[in-house]
Amino acid sequence: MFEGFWGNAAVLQALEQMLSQGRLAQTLLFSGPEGVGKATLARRLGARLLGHGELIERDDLSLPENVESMAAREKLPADKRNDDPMVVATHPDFLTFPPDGPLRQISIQQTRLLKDRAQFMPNKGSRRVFLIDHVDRANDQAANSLLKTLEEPPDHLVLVMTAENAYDLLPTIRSRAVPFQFAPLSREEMREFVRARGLDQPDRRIALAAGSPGRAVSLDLDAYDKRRTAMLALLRVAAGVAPFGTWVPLSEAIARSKSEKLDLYLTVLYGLLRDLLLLVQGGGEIRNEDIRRDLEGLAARIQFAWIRQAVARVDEIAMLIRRNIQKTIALDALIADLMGPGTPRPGTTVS
Amino acid sequence: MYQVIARKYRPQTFQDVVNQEHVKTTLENAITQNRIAHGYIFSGQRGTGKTTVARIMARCVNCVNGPTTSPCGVCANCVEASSGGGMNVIEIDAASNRGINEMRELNQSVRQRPASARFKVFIVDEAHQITTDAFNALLKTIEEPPEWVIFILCTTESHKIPATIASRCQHFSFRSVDFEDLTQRMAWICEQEGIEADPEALAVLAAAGEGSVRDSLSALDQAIACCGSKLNAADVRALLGAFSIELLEKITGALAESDSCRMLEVVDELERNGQNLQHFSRELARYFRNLLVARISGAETRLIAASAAQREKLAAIARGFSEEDLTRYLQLSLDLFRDLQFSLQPRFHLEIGLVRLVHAGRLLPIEKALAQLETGVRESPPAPAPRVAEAPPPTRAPATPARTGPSPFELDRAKKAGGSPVSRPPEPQSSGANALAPQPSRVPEPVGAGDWRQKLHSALMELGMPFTADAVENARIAEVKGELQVTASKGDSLALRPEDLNKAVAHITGREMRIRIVIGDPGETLQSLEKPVPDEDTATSRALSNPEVQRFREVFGGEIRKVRNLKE
Repeated sequence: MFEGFWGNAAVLQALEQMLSQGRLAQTLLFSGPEGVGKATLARRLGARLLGHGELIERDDLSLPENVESMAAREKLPADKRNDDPMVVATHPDFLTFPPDGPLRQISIQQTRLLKDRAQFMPNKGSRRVFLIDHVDRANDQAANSLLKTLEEPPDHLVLVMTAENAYDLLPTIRSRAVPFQFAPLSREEMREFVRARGLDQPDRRIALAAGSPGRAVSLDLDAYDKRRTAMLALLRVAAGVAPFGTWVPLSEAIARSKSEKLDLYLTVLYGLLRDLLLLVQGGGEIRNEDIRRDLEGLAARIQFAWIRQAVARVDEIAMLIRRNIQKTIALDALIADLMGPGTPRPGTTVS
Repeated sequence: MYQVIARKYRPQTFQDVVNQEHVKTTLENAITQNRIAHGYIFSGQRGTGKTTVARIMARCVNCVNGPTTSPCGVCANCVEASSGGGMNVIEIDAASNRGINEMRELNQSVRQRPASARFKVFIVDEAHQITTDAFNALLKTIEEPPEWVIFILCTTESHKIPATIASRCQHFSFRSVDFEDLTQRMAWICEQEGIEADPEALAVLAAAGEGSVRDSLSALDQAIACCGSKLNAADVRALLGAFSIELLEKITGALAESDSCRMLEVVDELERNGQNLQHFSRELARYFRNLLVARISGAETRLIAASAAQREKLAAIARGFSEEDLTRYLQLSLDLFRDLQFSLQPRFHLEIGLVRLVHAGRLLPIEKALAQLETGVRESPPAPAPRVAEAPPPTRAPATPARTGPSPFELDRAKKAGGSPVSRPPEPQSSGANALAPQPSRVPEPVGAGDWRQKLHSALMELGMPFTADAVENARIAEVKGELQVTASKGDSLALRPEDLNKAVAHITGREMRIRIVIGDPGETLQSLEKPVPDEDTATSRALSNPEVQRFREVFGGEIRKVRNLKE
C-alpha cells in the first residue's frame, strides 16, 4: 500500500491493481488540481518500484532547499540554463524534470536530455522511473519531442507525467498515456490530514486550500492576508465603493516587492471573486469567512454581470503573465476597466 | 516489462489494420504492381495507424520474400522494421530532430545503399515539427532520391507540411475509425487477453476514444487496471467519468426554473465525486447539441448517438425550450468549454459559466416582441433587464434573421410625433439580441440633428477610423429629408469618405442613409446656426463633450481647469 498518502483512494486502488497484476503501464498521466499529491504519488510509486524511498523523497520540489536552488536558477542567463538542463535525481534511477526558468517552462533541452537518459540501463534493479512534473508547462516543441519516447519507452522505463488540466495537453500526448484523474480531498479527509500534520489555524487552512493538502501545508497565512487586503482594496475601488486613492499605496507596495509573482495575487483575487459570486447568488460556503462582512457589503453593490466581466479581465491578465507584463500597470488597468458599474464604456458592447 | 495493449497489439500486417481501406488497397496495389513511390505523406488524427502502416509498408518492401503484401514477419528485415528501426529502416523522431543540421545528416545517409535489404526506408514521424529551413533542405533529396530510398512522413497536422514537399509525395489521409470496427477489434483483443467484457462496456470505451484506436485501447488498459478481468458497463462508465443523463437533466431543470443556486450545487457535487470538470463541460456542450438536434428533428433521428429510450428523453426535455434558446445555450457551453481548457481555476470558471447560462435567460420570440411594441403594451419582460442584456454576441446571427435597427413603423411613428427625441448620452449601439428583447427603450430612436456629430464621432472611433472621426468632429452635420449633409472644410473633406460614413451610420441606426458631402466652411455655418460664441469656448465645450474626456472625469473624478486650443 502507499502509506501516508491522503485521499484519492480510487487512484491508489487502480495503481495497486496494476502492480499486482503486473500490468503497470509504462506511460502514466496524473491530472488534477494543484497540491492534491500527483507528484507525491509518483514518488511513492517510484519508491515502490526502486526502493530507497528516503532518497526519492528528497526530490520533493516544495522542500526548502529545492525551492532555493530553483530560485537560484532563475537568475542564470538562458544559455547557461540550456547548457545544463534542469533535472533532479537524488536516487540515480529516479529522475524528475521540473519546469525551469523564470517562466517555469519545460524546455526542449530538458526533453532531449530525457530522451538520452532514457536509453541508459538502470543502475540497480530492473527499472527506472522518470517524472515529468507539470508537463502542461512544456512548450510546443518540447511537448512534441516527447511523443516518440512516450509511445515506445525502453523496456525498463516508467514515465509519469503530471498536469493540472489534462485537456490542456496535446491530444497526441494524452492518447499515449494511461490517464488518472485526481480529485480534491473531501472536507473530512482534509480535516484528518490537517490534524495529522498538526497545522495551525486548521479551519482557515482547510477553507482556503480547497481540497489540496499540498496547498494547506504550504499556505503562508500572513502573506496571504497581506495579499488579500490588497486585492480586496482593488475590488472595492473597482466597484466604486472606495476612491482610487486608497489603491495607490498598495499598488506601490506590490511594485516594490520584485520577487513576488503576480500569479499569487491573481489566485487570491479569483478566490475573492468566487466568494462574491456565492454571496450575490446566495448559497454555498465562502472561503474567506473571516471577512464576510466586508464581502457582503461589496456584494450588495455589484451584479453578476460585473463579476463576469471582472473574471474575464483577470483571465486576460493571467494569460498575459507569461508574456512578462508589468504587474502594477496590469492591475491599474483592471481597476479602470471595471470602474463605474452600470455605465458601460463607449466601445464595449453589453454582452 | 508489461507492454500496454496499444503497443502489444500493434498490427503487423495490412489485414490487421482497422479501417483505412483506401490506404491499404492503394498501397497493396502499388506493391503488387511494383510501382512503389519514393515519397509518402501519412496524415490523420492521433491513433489512426499512421506509424503502424508506415512500418508495415517497410516490412512489405524489405521482406526476404520480395516486395509482397504479406510479409513473413520472421526474417531479419521484418523484425527490424517492426522494432522501430535499424540499418535499413530508419525511424526519425522529427520533433526532436527538426533542424537543418539533422536534415543535412539525413541527406548524407540517403546516399549510402541499404545495409542488407532492398530498400532504405526513412520513417519521419511527427513531421509537422520540422522547421521550414529543414524542409527546404530536404526538397532536392525528396524529389529525386536514389532508387533505394523511400520516405514516409507521418504527421497529425498535414497543413504544416509545405506545399513543395507535399507535391513531391503521395498523400494519404487516415480517417477516424468507425465505432463498429473499433468495438470488434477491442472484443478480439479482450479475448486474446482473457478478459470478459460485456458489449456495452466496450461501446463506452470505444466512444471514449472518439475515433482514435490508441485512445480507446489506453482506456481499456485503464479499465482492466481498475476493474480486473471482468468489465461491465457501469464500472467503466464511472471510471471514465461518463455522465449519466440524470445529472445533465439537473442542469436543464435549473435552467427552466432560473435557479442559479442549484447550478452551484451541481458543481459542488461534481467536485465531491472527483469528476473532471473539463470533461464535464465537454459533455455539457454535447448534451446541448443533442437537445438541439432532438428539438429540430424529433426523437426519431440517427444524428444522436444514444439509445432509443435516451433519445425519447432528450426530445421530451428539448420540447421545453425553443430552438433559439438551445442554440444560445450551446454557444455558451462551448464558450465555457473553451474557457475551461486553459483555466487554472476550473471550478470557479464552471460556476461562473453555469450561472451565466441561467442569467442568459430566455428570449421572447420576435413576433411577440413586435406585438408588444405595436400595441404599446409595455409589459415588464419575463426576465429582469440585466438578464436580457446577458445575451451573448455570437448568437446574434441565428437569433436575428433580419432586424437590427428600428422598424420602419417605429421610425414613421417617431416622425409623426414631430418633436425631436430627447438626446441621450452616447451608448454602445444595441446588439441584435438587445433589439430583439422586448425592452422598448433599447430600440434606437431617430438621432437628433445636434447629436449626429457626437454619435458619428464615437461610432467612427469604435470602428477604428480616428482620422475620419476627427474630420467629422470639425464638420457640420445636418439631416435634410432623410439625407445626411456633411459640411466640411476642404482639408477635412479628404478624410471623409462616404463608405466610411455609411458604415458608421449603419452602425448607429442599423440602416443606410444617403450621405452628401459639401465642401464649405463649417465654422461659419455653425456660428450662424448656433449662438455666436468666442473661439475659446467652442474649444472648451468641444473638449468637454468628447466621450473620452467625460470618461476620464467619471473614472478619476477629475476637474478640468483649462482647455488649450492647439490650433491657435
